[in-house]
Amino acid sequence: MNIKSQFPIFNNNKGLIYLDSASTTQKPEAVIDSIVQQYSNNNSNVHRGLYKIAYKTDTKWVEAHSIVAKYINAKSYKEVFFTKNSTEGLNWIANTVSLSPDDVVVISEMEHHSNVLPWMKVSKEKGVILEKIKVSEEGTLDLSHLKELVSKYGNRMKVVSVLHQSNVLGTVNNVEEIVKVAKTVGALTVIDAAQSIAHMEIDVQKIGCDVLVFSSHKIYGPSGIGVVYCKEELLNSFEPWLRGGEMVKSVEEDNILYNDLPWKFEAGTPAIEAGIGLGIALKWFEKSVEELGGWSEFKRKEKALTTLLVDGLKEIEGIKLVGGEIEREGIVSFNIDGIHPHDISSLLDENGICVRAGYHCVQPLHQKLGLNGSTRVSLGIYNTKEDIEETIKQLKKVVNIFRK
Amino acid sequence: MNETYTKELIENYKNPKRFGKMETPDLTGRAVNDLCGDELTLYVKNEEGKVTDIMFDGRGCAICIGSMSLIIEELMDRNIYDLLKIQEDTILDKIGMKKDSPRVRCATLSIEAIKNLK
Ligand SMILES: Cc1ncc(COP(=O)(O)O)c(C=O)c1O
Repeated sequence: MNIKSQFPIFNNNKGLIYLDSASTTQKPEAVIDSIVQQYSNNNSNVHRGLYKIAYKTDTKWVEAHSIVAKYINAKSYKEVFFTKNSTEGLNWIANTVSLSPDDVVVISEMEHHSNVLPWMKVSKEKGVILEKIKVSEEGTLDLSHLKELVSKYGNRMKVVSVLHQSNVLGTVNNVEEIVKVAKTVGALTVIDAAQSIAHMEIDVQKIGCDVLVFSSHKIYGPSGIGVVYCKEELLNSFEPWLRGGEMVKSVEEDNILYNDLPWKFEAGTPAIEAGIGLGIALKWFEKSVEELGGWSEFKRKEKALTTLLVDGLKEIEGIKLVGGEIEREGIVSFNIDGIHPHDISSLLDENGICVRAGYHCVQPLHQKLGLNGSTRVSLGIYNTKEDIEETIKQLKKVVNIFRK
Repeated sequence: MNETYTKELIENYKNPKRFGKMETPDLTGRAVNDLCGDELTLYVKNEEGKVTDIMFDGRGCAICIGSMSLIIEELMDRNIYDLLKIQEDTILDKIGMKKDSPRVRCATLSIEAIKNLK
């Protein structure tokens, strides 16, 4: 099965080598078509109209939630609500969980800004202590440090919010263990699955977390839609953060009757076509993984490409990977002595190769590792051995320009 | 873009002219590119409104450092008030970069540093 041919972007940009899927993935035709179809055939608002096309849209909207719930093994669609993106999901929980002065929130030193800034705000406003699980020089999360924090703070530790897969290092954190440790003091557990969602099976019940967020655009779906998974009993106990239409049944003087779960948390008109498109994307992705031979085969192939990439990079004089000998899954960041990441990215772009340069929204980790940014190569389902080989070849040419 | 990465630019990046910190400058001009954190600081000795010595330091990509190095000699002996009127085109023309290139800011950081002299 040819995956690349299902993505119009590669037909419309001959020779394009896209290696920035950690930033956003390309979209398969099935997803693009679903957006056109929604607008062309059924366009109407959700939860409002009593006419046929509105009923169709509503059905598709609920179905998209069900597809997501099934995909991450939530107990029901009631545990899944849609946001704009992962960032909004993390802001939602930071602004929803009840915190008092001297409570403790734990994140880590490898977090994306979107899992740092919302907690910094809460910490400042409410006098909450913000702790960060240490990252070793190698680039792994120091779980013994989390255990120390648990001993130190006990049940003052109210939240542990960490990412599943690092968008810089490419490593996967042992979130099941993290949740287990956090649960010994009853902390709320939040998992940022923005990167992991497109690289591995996600089972929220197996992880055992209270909250998990991801973005549609990083798993071949449309941008403008994100997902929050949250346990039903918690959702029942939380007050909605955003308020307006769609999230209430009735509004009288002093008496507001919220809508049922999960709609209570979806205030205002959402990105309807994108939410429906996310359902299509997950279905498409699931089917593609199956056709590739299932998850273990998918992961084996991705690992092989990652190894090819790492080995190729190591041949380059003056290269330094971000992180040491760690298990990278489809994401590799690096620096080359004397060559700025932006120059690398611009010169690769000359040959139709797209890679990311800069901090990748993770400035604290770069600073901790003493780096002024890095160049990142990240894989998607459409990448091939040829893509990697060509990239290494062009990268060597870039180095030559500077070394001559 | 390849036209921009000339041998001359790369040479100026690897061995920038007048690079280093000046101890007691009369004027300094600093510019930072928020997008990437690249930064330049220009140091000037000024006698009766004329540039009598000039140096710069900072960190950045080949276009940023190379651009500053490529025009710094031209700034010697110039009238300070004339310098402050320098246009972005000066550097873009010199390195052959189009105005709609995604890297324009890297090149014009040098101009910003000059304009920020005080
Ligand atoms: C680990 C991680 N968390 C959060 C985000 C934020 O995702 P979004 O911009 O879709 O909200 C990203 C995106 O790069 C990410 O890699």
